Amino acid sequence: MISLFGSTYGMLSPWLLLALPAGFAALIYAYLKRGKGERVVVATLLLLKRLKKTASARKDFLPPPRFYFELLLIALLALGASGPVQEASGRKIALLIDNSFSMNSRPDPDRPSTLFSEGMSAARHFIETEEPSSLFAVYYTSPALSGSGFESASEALKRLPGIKAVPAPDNLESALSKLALESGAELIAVVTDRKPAASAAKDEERFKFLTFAPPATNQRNAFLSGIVLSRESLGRGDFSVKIIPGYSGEKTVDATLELGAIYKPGEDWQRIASKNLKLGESSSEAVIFNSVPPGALAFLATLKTSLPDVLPEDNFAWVGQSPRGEKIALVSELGPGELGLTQIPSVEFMHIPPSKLPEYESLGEAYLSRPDTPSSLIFHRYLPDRLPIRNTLFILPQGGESQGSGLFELFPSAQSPQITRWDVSHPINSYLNYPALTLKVLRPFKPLPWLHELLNTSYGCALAAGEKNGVRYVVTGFELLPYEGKSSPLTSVLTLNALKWISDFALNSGYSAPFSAFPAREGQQVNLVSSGTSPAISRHSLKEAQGFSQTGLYRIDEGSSSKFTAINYFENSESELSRKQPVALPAGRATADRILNRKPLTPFLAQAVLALLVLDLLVTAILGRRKHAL
Amino acid sequence: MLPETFTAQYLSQLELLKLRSRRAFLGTRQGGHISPKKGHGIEFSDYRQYELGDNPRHIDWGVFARTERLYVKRFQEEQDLSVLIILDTSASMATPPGEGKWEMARDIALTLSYISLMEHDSVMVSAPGRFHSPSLYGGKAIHALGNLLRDLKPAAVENLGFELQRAISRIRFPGVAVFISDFLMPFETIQRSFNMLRSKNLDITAIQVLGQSDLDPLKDKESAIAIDSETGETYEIGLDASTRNEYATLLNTHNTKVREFLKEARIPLATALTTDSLPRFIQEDLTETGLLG
Repeated sequence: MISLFGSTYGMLSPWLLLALPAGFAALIYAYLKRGKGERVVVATLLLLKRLKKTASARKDFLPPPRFYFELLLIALLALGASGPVQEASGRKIALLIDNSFSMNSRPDPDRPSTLFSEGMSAARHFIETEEPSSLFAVYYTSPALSGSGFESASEALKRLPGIKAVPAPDNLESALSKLALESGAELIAVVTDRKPAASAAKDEERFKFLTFAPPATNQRNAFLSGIVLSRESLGRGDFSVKIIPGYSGEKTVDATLELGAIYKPGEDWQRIASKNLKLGESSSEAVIFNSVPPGALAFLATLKTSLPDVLPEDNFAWVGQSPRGEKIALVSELGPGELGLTQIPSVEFMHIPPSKLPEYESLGEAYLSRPDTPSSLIFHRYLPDRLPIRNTLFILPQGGESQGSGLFELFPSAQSPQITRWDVSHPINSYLNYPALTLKVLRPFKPLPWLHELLNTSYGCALAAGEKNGVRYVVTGFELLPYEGKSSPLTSVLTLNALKWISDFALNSGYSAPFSAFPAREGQQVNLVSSGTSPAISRHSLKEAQGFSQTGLYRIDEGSSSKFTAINYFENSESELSRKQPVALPAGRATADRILNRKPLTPFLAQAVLALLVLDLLVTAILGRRKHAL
Repeated sequence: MLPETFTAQYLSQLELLKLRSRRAFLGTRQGGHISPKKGHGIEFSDYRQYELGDNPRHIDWGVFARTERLYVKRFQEEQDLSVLIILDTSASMATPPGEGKWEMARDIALTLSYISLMEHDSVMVSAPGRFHSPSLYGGKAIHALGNLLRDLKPAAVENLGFELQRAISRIRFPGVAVFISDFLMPFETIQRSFNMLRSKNLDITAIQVLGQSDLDPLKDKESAIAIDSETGETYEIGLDASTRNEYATLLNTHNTKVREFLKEARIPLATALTTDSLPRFIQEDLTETGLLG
């Protein structure tokens, strides 16, 4: 290896340089032989012998210019065969960008640049000032750790503009742990608004927290951490909006919480209520606006403070509702009265015998999208051929052997199954004391992958719920009906919880970002009509909406009907800027090899040889023509 | 059999030509050339005074009537011409093969022989060191001569001067001598050869035949091992533009020297290139030398 002009050069097969002296010797021999020339019989040597001058090839070895040209070609070919390379060593660096919600904060409230933009500038500078031969793998933390493989600095720089800050948590610890163990990087550079834990601050060999614009000295941030639109009971009573404000900062701050509503699509927000608040650190007292107008399609809560707010994006929350009333279709051999459903107030049940179901299905979406059509379905002891496109409660048929209905795989009925576990966090399991529940008969089933198991027994899954393409489904393997009210409190509460969950009312109250699938289906138009500090965008297809992570109020259009769906982001860990937890660095580390970047130079030598040969051909052709012309 | 060049048209053109000599030579037979001998020819020459013993039939009575003096008529004697054609058949005349130098020289010799034989001259062809033909007479002899020359292949001659002398020694009656060669030999040899011919009081014409390879022996070659076709001597040589120019100068100098010698010796020289047309050379160049008319 030799260093030349700031670079290091070596050869992969230096022994092939022996071709150089061998080639030289062969060339000299050829020219010596060439000098003798071929044997030619001439009439007489009488005059030839009198020539005073002869070509130098005849006497001493004084090669013509072409000899040196051929010598140069041999030298280039031998050099090329020896595999010259330009070597440069560098390191593998994983660059982890924190693109969580808190990175939207502004270090200087008077300037438009965010921590995220400042951090990206620092990342760019870091890449540009590293060793030229280093390789970079660019990762970002939110909504999930994603990244590229190791690539050159120029390629890594091209990836940066594609990373955006999203409403999601940073998951920094898990990201760093994964990168430390699996990335193979010698160094992990981190762009984040969080500081490394003091105990790990000296681990500069493995981790480098890039410094950029310091956070504001007084990080005041008022935020909303929840919004709920509710009625007193399912389908009855006045509407109320419950909003949970929060604050992170040194001092208390005066704030105003405003509630706006829209009544028709396309209208502007109308302020319907407001409350003055005094927010302080750790204050999270909910504010309830009672008796809000029932005809409103959507509500917007806005929190305004008297002092500059470094992160205004979390000062907004939306909630929407469908203009339809609660109407549920019951597909069963028995009617709503026979099943006790008429006892449930403010909900209209429409009875569809299974034999009549094809008639309704044949009416198509145009019928189903009418405001007077049921928004939800109950299939009682009957399974359709395919999933309905309405929120549905399936009460599975009892008895029978194992069967696959096309929708669910059903197992044989079981007697007196033991309840083994249940998910307390799901709204359907609210207020339920499952140990007190005695199941006489159960039809266990195998839930589809997107169904979340809510209740398991010794014989398998008994209750599951999930959402697919914006439609909610609940499946129960045990009988919920007839509805008996207080006579069977557990099953009655479970029935009401399930109905509430699949009702249109609950569906449009709001979703939380980040989401795996936008709550809309193919054929529906998605319109962002309100979006806090970001500019509202217009129509987009569902596919485009899938890539959204923007909070706001969306209007979903389908034919002549519209409904509003809110996307909110509530994450205290991202909004409480003054209480950001230091980052604990992982202990483990996988081995990382220093990279050796070898740039082969043989192609350049081959190009040089090719160029010389082409030039030689051209010169020979031109000189040949001139000779003939003369 | 004559070569293909000797077409019927070419032969008919040759029959219009006649070999000329600048001097009158004694012939052996009656032929078409004026003899220095005065005698019984049919062409009136001049008058002389009657001397006792002259044939009274030759007295011009018309002149007597006018002058009352007796004069007798004198007549030109017409006899044949001895033509000696010396043809250089050394190896250099056929180097390189296929160039046509030997063929050109042979055809020139055959042409001159044909013209002479058709004029009832005697023709002798000598290839020094190879063969020496007897005197040939009559038009039919051209075929025998054609066969002889067709079978002849140039080859190295060990001592050209000695062989030439041998050839010249066979000449009994002086006449016309035509020496056909490339004359690419030492000047001294050329000088000696022509001096031998001059010593025989011959009416000499030199015809030099050259090929393209004589003008540029190593065309398109930068270097070569040159081999002398006569001696087999080898010589390594490299040629570039300047050496080629130098060779051309040397060739020109040699030919000039030969030409000046021949001019001084009053020997006409005609140069034929293998690229020339034989009929054109015969009818124009040779005619210009005075050999043909």
